[in-house]
Amino acid sequence: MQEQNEKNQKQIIPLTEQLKERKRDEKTTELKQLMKEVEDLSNSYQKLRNEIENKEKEQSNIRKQMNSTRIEYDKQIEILKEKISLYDREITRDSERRKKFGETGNLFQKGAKEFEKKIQQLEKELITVKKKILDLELGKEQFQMKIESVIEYRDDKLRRDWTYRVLTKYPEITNLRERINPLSRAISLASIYAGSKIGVKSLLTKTVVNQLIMQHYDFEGKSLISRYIENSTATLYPEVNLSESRLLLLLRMAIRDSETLYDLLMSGNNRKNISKEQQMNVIAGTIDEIGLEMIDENDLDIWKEPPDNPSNIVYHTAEQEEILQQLQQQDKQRESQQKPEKQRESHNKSEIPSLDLLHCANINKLVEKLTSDQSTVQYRNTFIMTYQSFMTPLQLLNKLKQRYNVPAKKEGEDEMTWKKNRDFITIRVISALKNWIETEFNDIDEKIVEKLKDFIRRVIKPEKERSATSLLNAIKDQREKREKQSLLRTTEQAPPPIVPKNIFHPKLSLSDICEEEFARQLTLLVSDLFRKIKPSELAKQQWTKKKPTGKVLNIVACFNKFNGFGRYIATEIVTPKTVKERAKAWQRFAKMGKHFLELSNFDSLMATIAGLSNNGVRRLKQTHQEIPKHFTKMFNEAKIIMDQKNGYHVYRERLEQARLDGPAMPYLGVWLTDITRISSGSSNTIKGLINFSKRKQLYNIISQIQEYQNLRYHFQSVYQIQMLLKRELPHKNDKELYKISVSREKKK
Amino acid sequence: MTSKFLTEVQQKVVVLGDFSVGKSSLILRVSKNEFLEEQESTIGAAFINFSVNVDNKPNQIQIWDTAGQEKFRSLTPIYYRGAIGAIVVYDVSREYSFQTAKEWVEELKEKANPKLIIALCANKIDLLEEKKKLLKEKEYADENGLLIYETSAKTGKGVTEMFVDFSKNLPKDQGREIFNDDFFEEEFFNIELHNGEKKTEKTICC
Repeated sequence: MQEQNEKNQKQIIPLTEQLKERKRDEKTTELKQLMKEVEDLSNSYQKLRNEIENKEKEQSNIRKQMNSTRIEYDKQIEILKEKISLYDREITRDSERRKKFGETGNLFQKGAKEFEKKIQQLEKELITVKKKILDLELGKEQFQMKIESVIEYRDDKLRRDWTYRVLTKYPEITNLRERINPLSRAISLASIYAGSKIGVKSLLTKTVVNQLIMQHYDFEGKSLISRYIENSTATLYPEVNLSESRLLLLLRMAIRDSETLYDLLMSGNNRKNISKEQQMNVIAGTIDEIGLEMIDENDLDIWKEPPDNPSNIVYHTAEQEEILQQLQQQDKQRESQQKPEKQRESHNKSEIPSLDLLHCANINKLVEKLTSDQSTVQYRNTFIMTYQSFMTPLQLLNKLKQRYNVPAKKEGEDEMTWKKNRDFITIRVISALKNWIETEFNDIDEKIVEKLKDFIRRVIKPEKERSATSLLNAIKDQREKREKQSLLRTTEQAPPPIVPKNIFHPKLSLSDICEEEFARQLTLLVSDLFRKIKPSELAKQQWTKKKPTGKVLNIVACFNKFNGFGRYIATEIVTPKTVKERAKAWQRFAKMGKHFLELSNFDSLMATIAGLSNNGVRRLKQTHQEIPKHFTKMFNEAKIIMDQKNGYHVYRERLEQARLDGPAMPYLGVWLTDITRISSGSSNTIKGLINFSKRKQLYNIISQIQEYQNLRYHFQSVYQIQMLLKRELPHKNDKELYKISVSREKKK
Repeated sequence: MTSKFLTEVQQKVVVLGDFSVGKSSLILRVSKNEFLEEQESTIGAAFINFSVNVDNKPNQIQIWDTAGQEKFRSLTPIYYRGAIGAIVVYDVSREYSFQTAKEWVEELKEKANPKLIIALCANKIDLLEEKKKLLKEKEYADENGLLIYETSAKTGKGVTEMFVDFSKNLPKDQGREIFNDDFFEEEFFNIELHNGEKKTEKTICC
């Protein structure tokens, strides 16, 4: 066993060894293989590693690239952001712009509309321009016609050259031509406005023309020629005054009147704009003014007027019957004294009421009554004072002439009765004429006076010489009185004027004159103006009318002085710069007002009140506080006197009292209100008849005014002061005054 | 006037305007309801009293006329002082009278009582053609806050209506008792009064 074992062992050892070797071999190969594998692996590892490294490198590269690109992107993003914000801004701007554009768009639209309008206007203008062009073309034709006429004219020129040569050679001819020119103009004018053809023909009969020529020759001292004309034409030549040539006088008057008319027609370039009617009105106004006659075709001769009936005369009745009866009784008493004369109207005498109750009538009736036995003093005065409100002086003269020429005796009428009646009427006419001359002759045109004189000389004188001379004397007296009026002074000693020392200084001003003298001189001036106011101005209410000829009326002069003085006061008070000076000025005029009251010059007193109550003066409170109390009290009293309440009741009483005490200068406004009330309170005519009761009321006021016009102040007129006052007193208008006043004492 | 008026509260209204626009005729029409009648007009009345019922209360207005004295322009402040209403009249048939009316309105606005109620009265509309309408005048009245009336004193159209309507437009609290002398004290001489007791009811213009 062991041996076996050993043997086995021995056998085994090699085997094991073999085996071992084999195994080793195997192992080495295996190892080798493993080594190889390892090597491979390591190689591959290496490779991988390299790859990894490469990759990493790549990665890092990429990363780097990434980073750089990111930065770039970031940058780009920022840039984009900026851009976006920029865009945003631009968008906002854009929207704003859009808004703006929208507005401007609207504006443009409006503008477009306006343009359209303008275009339309322009189109219209174009049309007018086209029309104008047409007109111009027409004008061109006319112009051509004119050129043709100019050519004719050129032919004519030769003739004119000749006339020119002749005229320069013989200046007498030029002279004569110029003198004739107005006459020929008058003729052409008359032919255009053939106003009174019939009238002229009826007035200028052959006899009259012959008489005029004869009178002219007589005046020239060529009575032989005149006698010859008398014989050959068999016209009667009446004895007339030879102090002037009637023919020359008439011609001169005719030329003067025609010149006035011509000037009127030619004045101003706007003649074409005036309608013919208006032109005729203006002419009628002028004719009325210069006393020419417009023949009224409808005029009825006073003798053809039917007897009293409601269509031509109306009396007050019913409610005034009592007064009527009383007045009739009075009338009867008066009539008993003049009984023998009345014949014509005696049959219905008992029915005729007194003229004091006359309500309305037509012109013929009024004149008839004036010259009938019904006529009363009251009636005559009323008529003569107010007739200008319904007829012209010339009409009155004509009517009186008509009335004087009593128609010839009718058949079957008693010779004696007719003669008596005629005598009666002629006497009445003469007395009416005398009344007229004596009471209201101041404002009658010279020509009417001439006509009246002519009538007296030609018609009245041959029959009733005494009354004719008395009438002529009355006219003469009136005229002389008119001239002398301004010189009239009483024997009574006037108080010596208080003149300042620098009275002869050329720079004498109104503020140098003391209040009392100022008041006196202004009173003189104002009362002179007042006295010049004519009844006809009042009767016709002329101050409310604009006259075509621009003649300044006396009444307007009164207004102007009044307003001027009032504003002068206000100006003098407001202008000084210190309160004290203003208060002093205020006191000066208040004192003046006191003097006016003492002089009973209510007109200037009222003007003073107006001046002190001017808006500019009244608002000066500081100034008013400086004024002593007694001054304001005085002013208050004056205001109460001139209070408008109760129709100037206080004033009217005071005025009446003042008239009894001495001269007075009334405030015109009160009467003007009365006159306005009367004229707007009732109509001028009633059913075509002249409203005579209205004239009676007017007469009442006018006679009142005349009473005051007869009064005069006895003061010595100081020439230098009068000159200062007569000029327009320095004054500012109300607006300026108010402005200055505000600048002096500010508004609170 | 008499004691009758002393107890009444009266409101003064002035009527102004160019000459011959028909101021007196308007007043005549409203006082007597007549125009150019044969009846004789009363002389000497400076104003008329006109009673209206406003809210069942009798209201006396005193209408002052400046007739015939239009040319005394320097007197006008005296007329409108103390008035609480003014009626400026113009004549529709005369263009110029409207210009004068405008001047009146301006003067009143500037210088008279600032609370003054002003009315523009287009008179003589009977002379106006039917087609014509007073557009320009109405515009002017609107601009200046004036009342406007159309009247015809001749036919009587709108006259009474104007005065009634105008008096209704007057402020009711402004009117005063009138005493003959105190009226003047108060109206014109407020300076004096202020030295002593002050009167509260007084409204001073300017």
